[in-house]
Amino acid sequence: MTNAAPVPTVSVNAVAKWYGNVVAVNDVTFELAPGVTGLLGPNGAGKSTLLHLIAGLLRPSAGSVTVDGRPTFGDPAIYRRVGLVPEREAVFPYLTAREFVRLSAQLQGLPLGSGAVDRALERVELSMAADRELATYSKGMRQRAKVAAALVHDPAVLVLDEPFNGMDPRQRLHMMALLREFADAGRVILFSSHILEEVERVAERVLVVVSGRLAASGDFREIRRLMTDRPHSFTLRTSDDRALAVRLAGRPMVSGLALEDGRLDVRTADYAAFTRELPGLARDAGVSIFELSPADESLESVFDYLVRG
Amino acid sequence: MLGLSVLGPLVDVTIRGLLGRRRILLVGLLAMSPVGVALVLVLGGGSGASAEDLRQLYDSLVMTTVVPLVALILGTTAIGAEIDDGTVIHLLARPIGRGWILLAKVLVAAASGVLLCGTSALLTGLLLVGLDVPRLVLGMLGGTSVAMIAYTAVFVTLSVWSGRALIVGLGYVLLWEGFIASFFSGTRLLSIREYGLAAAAGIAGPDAGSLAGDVAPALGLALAAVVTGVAFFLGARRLARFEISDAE
Repeated sequence: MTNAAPVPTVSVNAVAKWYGNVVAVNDVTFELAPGVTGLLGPNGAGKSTLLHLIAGLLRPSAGSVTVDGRPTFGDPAIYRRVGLVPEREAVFPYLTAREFVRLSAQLQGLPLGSGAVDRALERVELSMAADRELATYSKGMRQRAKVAAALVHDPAVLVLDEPFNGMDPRQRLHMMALLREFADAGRVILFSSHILEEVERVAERVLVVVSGRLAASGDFREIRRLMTDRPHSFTLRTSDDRALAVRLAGRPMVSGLALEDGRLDVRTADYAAFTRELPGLARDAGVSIFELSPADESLESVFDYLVRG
Repeated sequence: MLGLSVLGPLVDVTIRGLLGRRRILLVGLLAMSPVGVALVLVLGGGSGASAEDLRQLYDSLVMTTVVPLVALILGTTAIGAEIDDGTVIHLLARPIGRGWILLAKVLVAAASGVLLCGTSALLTGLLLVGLDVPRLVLGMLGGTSVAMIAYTAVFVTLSVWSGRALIVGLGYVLLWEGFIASFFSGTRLLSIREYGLAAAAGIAGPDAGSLAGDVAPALGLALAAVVTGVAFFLGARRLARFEISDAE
């Protein structure tokens, strides 16, 4: 994969999109850096609208969306730099995957002898089935065909709407690796998904959209830590759970303790103070800590918290 | 942005899209319906059909119903069906001027319509009058082509502007072209059907007979060109600002 193009810049500035009285996206601002960014939100939150605004398929009602400083809407030339994988399954059913990707290559102005079509099909592991009509494809295969068509010209920015839909676990892992590979080459990858585990595994940054607004953005663990008004939960396995619980019980940063079967669950409202003081408290109690793990640091818990407000 | 080189792939995918849809069968049957009527006339007419029968069939059936309806179905299918099923996104999200997409759709819809209705006009003419009045048959072919190009440009554009292009187009064909423009001579300068008839009369020359109407052939051709150009301009402008939103 080559990466001769300059580092892409994607900027969303105070963007709003409304349809009559319905506000789909409201006052959203962020910039995308090279790497993988996951876009999260419940159904109807405005994820697809936001992706379509970035991909130049919707005109912002207010604000601006630019790629490399150029507004995306009304400028088809941006598609030299941007590849889009839409959520809708619709593909031309009468074309084979090879013809579909070749059409994309031709509309990108790529010379047919460049091998780009074969490379794109190979990247999504569709080479073997490339000469079958898309009508005969499963949902996951169509998804991969769309990805191949979107990346045939090696775009600097790849926008994917629910790319893991319909893929089996192995295909998902492969797609995740592909996105990582693209990101490692300095590209901007933005994708939406409701499959939180995959987002957690593949995305460096998350954007959380709730009711059309950007509820949070950044590294999801950092976002979690910033929520100081909500207790964090930790699970500890120690040489003496009861003794450590007695020590912790009097500390102001501890808001809850539970001795479960072979483990100690601790809730704290002050993440920093807890992690700072815990080693000293354990040492004073003569307790060895075998395991300390955050119990609720999954992306799902972050997402749930943000959605519930 | 890319130019003429993208027209080939766009035309190719549009042709395959049209052929792949069931409604193309309906279009074929509709286009060939005048041939069926001609067969009935020939087989049941006894004394044989006259050139005037052919003119009346052309005026009342071909130009009033068949050509506009065939153009309506082809024009709205060429891009409207892709807008409906969402596949148009695979054309719009590419670095090509949107006018090329529209041009490919109009070219394919118009060429398919001319091929179908032109064949039908020729067969109908040959069945009814043989080679006795060749200029009349050629005129029918020319008039059909002129009307088909203008109609398809209008209907392709209509399907870019409206999600209900088929219904709106049907209303236009039945009310305007079929009723108002047929009965009120003052509106004929605004009728694609009249442009087609004028072109047919111009080519048919002395064989035109009752086909010669209020609109002079040169004016009919010019107005058809204007309608086609304006429709194309409006369609391309609309497509350039076209918005697509996936349902979440």
